[in-house]
Amino acid sequence: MLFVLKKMFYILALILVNLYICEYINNKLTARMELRRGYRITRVRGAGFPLVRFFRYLSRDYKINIWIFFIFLLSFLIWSAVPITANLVLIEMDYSLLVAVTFYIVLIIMLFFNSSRSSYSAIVSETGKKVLILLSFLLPVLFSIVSIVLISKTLSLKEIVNSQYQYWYIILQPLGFITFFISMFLQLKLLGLSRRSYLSTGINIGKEGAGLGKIIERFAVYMIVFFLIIILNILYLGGWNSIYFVRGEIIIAIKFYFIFVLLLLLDKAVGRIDNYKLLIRINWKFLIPVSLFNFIITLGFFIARNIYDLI
Amino acid sequence: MTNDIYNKIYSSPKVVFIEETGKNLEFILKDKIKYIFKAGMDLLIGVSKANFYEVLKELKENPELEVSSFQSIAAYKSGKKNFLIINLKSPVNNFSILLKIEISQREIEKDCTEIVDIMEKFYKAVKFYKYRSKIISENSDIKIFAQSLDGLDCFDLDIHTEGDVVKEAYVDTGIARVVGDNYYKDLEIYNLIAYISRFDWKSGIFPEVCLCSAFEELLQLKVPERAQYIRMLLCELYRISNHAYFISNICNVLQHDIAYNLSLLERERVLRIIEAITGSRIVPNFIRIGGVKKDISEEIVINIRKNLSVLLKNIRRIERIIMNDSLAVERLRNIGIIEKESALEYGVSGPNLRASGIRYDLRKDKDPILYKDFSFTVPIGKTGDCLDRILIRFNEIFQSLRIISQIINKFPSGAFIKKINLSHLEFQSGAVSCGIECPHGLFKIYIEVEKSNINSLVVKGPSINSLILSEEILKENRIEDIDLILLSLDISPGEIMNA
Repeated sequence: MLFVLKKMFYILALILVNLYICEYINNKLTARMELRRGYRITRVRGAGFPLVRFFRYLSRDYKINIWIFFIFLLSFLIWSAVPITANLVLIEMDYSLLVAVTFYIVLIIMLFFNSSRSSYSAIVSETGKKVLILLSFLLPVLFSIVSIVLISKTLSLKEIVNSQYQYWYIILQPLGFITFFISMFLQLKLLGLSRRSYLSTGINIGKEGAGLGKIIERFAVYMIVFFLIIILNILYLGGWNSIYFVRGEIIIAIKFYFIFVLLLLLDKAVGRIDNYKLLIRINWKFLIPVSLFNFIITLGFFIARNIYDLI
Repeated sequence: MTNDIYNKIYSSPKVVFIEETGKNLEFILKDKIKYIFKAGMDLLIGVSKANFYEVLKELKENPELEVSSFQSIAAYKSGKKNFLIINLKSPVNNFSILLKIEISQREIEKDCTEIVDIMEKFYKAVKFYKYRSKIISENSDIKIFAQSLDGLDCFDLDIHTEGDVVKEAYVDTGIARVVGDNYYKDLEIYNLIAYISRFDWKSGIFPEVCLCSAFEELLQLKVPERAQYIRMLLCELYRISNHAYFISNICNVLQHDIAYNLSLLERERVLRIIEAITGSRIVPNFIRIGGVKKDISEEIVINIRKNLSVLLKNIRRIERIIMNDSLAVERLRNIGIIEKESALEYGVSGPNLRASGIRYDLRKDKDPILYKDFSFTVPIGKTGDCLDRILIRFNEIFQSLRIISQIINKFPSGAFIKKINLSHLEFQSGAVSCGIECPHGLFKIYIEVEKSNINSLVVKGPSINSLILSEEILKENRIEDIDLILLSLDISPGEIMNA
């Protein structure tokens, strides 16, 4: 029991430290991209900024509904199934990939339920549309995940990483990686990574929500971002496998921050996409066909190799 | 008949042309009107309420006149009498008229509704001025309040939708309605000049220039050339600042943060030049009757010359950034299309009119300042969608820079103001209307004076016409494009004030 509590503490501490650093990088990078200097009230180049922002939001009045509670719970529960490093996972199971994806889908649906607190019907309908599009972006992700499963023949995330000790799956599945990355980027675009989330606020960006509810919403968005980056790392970039003498934990941290900064830069460089026709066109005419093509080829190889022993 | 006159007289001075048209109109509408005379750039026609229908029918349906464009309606009080003034325009024959109708004091509401009902038979746009809160409440299902649209805090929007598509839209300007008729009462003229720029806070110099030109026309005052050049310089600087602000607003909606901040920086650069000349940024209070307040020093001219090339380079860069982004262009193309015919019918002017392919610019036509000294082109668009409206603004900025460089290179020497004594000013009693091409369109002021007293002052901004037309163009567009379309019309809240 004590062992589990110790692990939980480590995971929580890791998440919170990363959250702090990511919020800081996010703020500074967006300020630079907008030709501003960024937040400078606190000392040491605004290092205390995330803390100040946290307290500022916390001191505002806000009615909390039940969905906020569930969102908070779920965004922690994700980490019970997803291993951050080899040992940092609460429950070890053989089908952790399935559990993680299910948690993710439920979390997004919860965010939609949360938006129904708004008194503006337009905001609710807008959010509904966005969530449906967001869920449709999961199709290419699922296709590429299934292709990986076919190669590694397992549903456990840990074993997927261990099977990449020779070469990363990005070499075997370049098309899968591209579709996964683009659909992930578009999902984060809809969630609102570098600005206040507009999935839950609809048209009026940042004009709704305050207080503890806002903090938890933002926390959930960050958790989704972390989750997607970690999954990308595990599936395609070798996870926590060490390179030469460098430890696996350091390698995964470097990869994590590299992808995070890349996503931030892309998010800033591309404007808001709320042209639904365009989003749907990108999804159904590019991402889904390409990932399906990738899946069919992988399936062909799988059958040829394992059933008929041709390769 | 008027087409022949138009072809014959176009090259000669404007006054002759207007007087000629006036004679023709007098001949055609002989028995139905009280009087007709030239008031500045328009023809003022006095009509009684009984003959109003026939006069309108003649004006609209006579193939020689073709007064098909509705411009504005305004009610005002002159002395103890109430009047309604209606501005109409013939785009084919290029003349505009003011119909002045007297209304009895006791039955103002009844008379006004009658007149609006008559006008609605001929001009579609007039339905905006009807009492229609019941229609709005019955037909709309989504209400967007003024504060939720960034940069457009002067009206509420009610929309009726089917799925994502807007089927009907209603604009309600009740939030911006101010009793603007009497605010000039008991004001000295110099105070009036200081206050008039509140009508257009995006580009404050244009109302001032318009008002002072109107007074100069009344006094038959010839303004020194140097003063005219300074006025034009300021007008073009304000035009650039307004368009840069417009672009930044569009980028804000697209969330294109880099272009947004760059365009605000360029606006800042222009505003600093303006501040060095006038001493203030938004409400300059710089134009005087007969000239300007201060002379421009040599240092400022050198400063402007330094900044011109930087401005050109940076704005080219912003244009490249936006137009190379296929997502942004995809978003802007084919939404909010304004057709040529409807633009003319609703009296839209300025860049919004030019975007739909009509080459009309008051600077080239009847211009109170000296734009004829310079060479510049009037850019036009093809389809009249949001993308065209943005490209037109970019091109206008480049043309304005071209004009400024010409102004700086041949700055004439001489006096910067013709000094007159404002405290003992006496006008001939009469009326005058003066217009100027401001960044949103055609800004007009109509004044009636009697000796040293201003009886009435009516301000007509161009944004209201675009706003009325927006009810039509929002139809069949998607909900998420609403704020982009409304922002692309460049509506200035100050002009909606006394609509």
